[in-house]
Order: sequence, then structure tokens, then C-alpha cells
Amino acid sequence: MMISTQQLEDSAVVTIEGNIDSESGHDLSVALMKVMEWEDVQHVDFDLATVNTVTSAAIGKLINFYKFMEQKCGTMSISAISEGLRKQFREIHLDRIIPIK
Amino acid sequence: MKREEIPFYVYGFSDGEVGLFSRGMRQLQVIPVTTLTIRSWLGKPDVSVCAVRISSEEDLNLFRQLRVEYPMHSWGACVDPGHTSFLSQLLCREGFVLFLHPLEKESLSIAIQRLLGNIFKGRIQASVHRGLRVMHQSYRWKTDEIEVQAVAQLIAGQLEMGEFCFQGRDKDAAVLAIEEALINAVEHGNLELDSALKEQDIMGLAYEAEKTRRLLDKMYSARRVSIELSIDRDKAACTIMNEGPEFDFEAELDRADAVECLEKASGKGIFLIKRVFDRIIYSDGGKSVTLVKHKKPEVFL
Repeated sequence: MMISTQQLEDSAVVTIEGNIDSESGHDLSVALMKVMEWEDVQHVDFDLATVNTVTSAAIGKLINFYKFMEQKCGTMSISAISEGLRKQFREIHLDRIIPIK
Repeated sequence: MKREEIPFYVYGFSDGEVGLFSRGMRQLQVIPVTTLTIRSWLGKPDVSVCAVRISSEEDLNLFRQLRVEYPMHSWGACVDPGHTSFLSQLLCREGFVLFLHPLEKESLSIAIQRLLGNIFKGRIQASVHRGLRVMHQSYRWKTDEIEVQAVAQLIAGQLEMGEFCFQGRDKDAAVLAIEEALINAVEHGNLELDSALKEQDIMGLAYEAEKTRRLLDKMYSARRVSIELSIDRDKAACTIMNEGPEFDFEAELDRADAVECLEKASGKGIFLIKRVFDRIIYSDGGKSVTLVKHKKPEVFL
């Protein structure tokens, strides 16, 4: 898995390439914590176009990150998502929590 | 000859020759052959067991081609004395199921018949049944040695060979489901980590730190994770066992079904397993979980 983060004034983009498995969970934590330190950021968009599966642990981190953004009156969304991951998120009802465009 | 009369084929080839053995024939026929003739000869057989004496790179490449062409076969390798060490390592890496070292000066036909004898007598676990391979595999790792992702890939690969999942999204979902079950066995079973720790901080750092600590503690790390994989024509069953304490698995299943679980950082592993497997059966006080997948009936038009 490859993960990159980019700040654009008051928003940020997190791009993840490849499946998020048990070995890459820590890298996800590190990247999200970095974004959490960007105080000016009010909206974070995730590009998951090349991610097919995400472990339950990583889903938990995404949910907690979503809650963190809510607490700072910010927003989080997923703008690009693979069909496989959209199906996974739909089946576990994650799409009811995190907005998927 | 009707297909049912040939429960399986055995091929062997070396120096341009191939041997065909079927139960009906009860003898080995050796003929000159190329990959092309093997293909036309086979048509689309239900099953074959291949025993190959590999003594050159050319043999190996031919074998690899056939293996790609017929992924459902039980593949065996006869390795010539003198090549054993190098080829053994190579073949093991390439995932061969059966392994046979012919005795020195043993002819290919004798080696293949010895392989057959072992299959008939049940000495080799991989065998054939009604046109599909019946497979039983056992694996065991210490908690601090298991590479969860690699093992999940391995098991999903076996499911794919049995046509219980298919390359692509389907297989990705199977890898993920097995990974989740393995993580449960390792982290909540052998390492006795409480999911509540994940809720202590946003990114679950307390959980990760405790996991690292326990992996260094022999009381936890010496415990083993065992896997029994059984695949037959209609059903695949993967049993994952840990050596941790018993737990209330019924409560865990209820919790996973609860709506409030959706917004929590933990408890979604069961969801991901249920997406792929038809049944999740806990036993031995929750220390053993069997994931069962049935093959969907084929539709003939």
C-alpha cells in the first residue's frame, strides 16, 4: 500500500494506492495523524480508486478519523472509490456513516 | 472411453516423452510429446495428477505452462538426484502440492507408479475424487512468526484452485475475510487483546503498543495458530484454532450484528467474514472457528 497526503489551504487530500491489509494499518495511522495535526484543514477527501479491500481495523481508523473531523466541525468524504470497495462499504453499511460521492 | 472411467491421469515427461496412466489402463504409456500434443490429447480432463521429472530448464518451463493451463490438477514433481536442492527450493516456492524424489536410476515410469501407489494407499494427502481434487492441508505457526497477510493469500489461493473464489475482487474479499479470522485468532485469541483498547485513542495506538509488548512476552507469543483446510467438490472448510482462553463467542456474534457496532472502531471483522463465507462455526469455547463455503450449483444451458 502507498499513501500520500496533500494540504490545499483549508482542505486536504489523502490518496491510497493498493489494498489496506494488516501490514499497512500502521502506515495509515501515521498518515492520518499527520493530517490531524493540520489545524487549518476543514475538509479531508479520500481517493481510494485503487483500493479493493480494507481490513476491519483500518475501517475503524477511518470511522474514528471521521468522528475527529466532526468534532472540529469539519467534514470528510470519499470522492474516488473502486467498485470492489464501494461494495464492501455498502455491505457493512459504512456508506451510511461516511459520505461517498 | 467415457470420462468417468478415467478417475485421473498421471503425466510425466522428460527428454521429450510423456507418460499417461489411468486406472482403466493400469499401465503407463510413454509417447513422444510436446505441450501442444498434451493439450490436444487432454481436451479438458476433469482431473490429472502430474508427476514430472525435471532435469532441465526446458522441462520446468513446460511444466509451468501446463500448470497454468490446468490449475485444478494436483501437481507433483520428480526431481532428479543431483538437482534436488536447487529444484526443491524452486518448486516449493512455486507451490507444488506433491513431491517425489525418484531413487537413483529409477525410471520415470517406475517413479510415477510409485507416486500412484502412494496416492492409492493414502500416503499422499492430495488425491482425486469425482473429477475434483480433495485436499486436506494443515498449517501451524507460533504467534510471533505468523505472517497474517501471506497466510491469508495462501489459503485464498487454495480456495481459488478449488474454484470457491475467483481471481479479482472475489479473491480479494476472500483474502480479507481469512485475514480477519487470523487477526482474531492472533490478537484476541493468543495475545488476549481487548477490542476496547482500540477505543482509547483515535488511531488505536494504545492497542498497537500493547500488541507489540505481548508479542515480546513468551507467555503469549509461544502460543500457536493452527489451520486445517479441507476442500472437496462442493465445500471448503477452513478451521483456525488459537491457544488463548475461551471467550463468549455468542455475545461476539450478537455484538457484530448490532446496529450500534457500525459506528465503533472495532467489531467489523465478522461482517467481512460473513460477506464471503456461508457459515461461521465456533467450537472449543470459541478457540476454534470454522469458515465454510459451499460451491454454488453450476447452471447448464
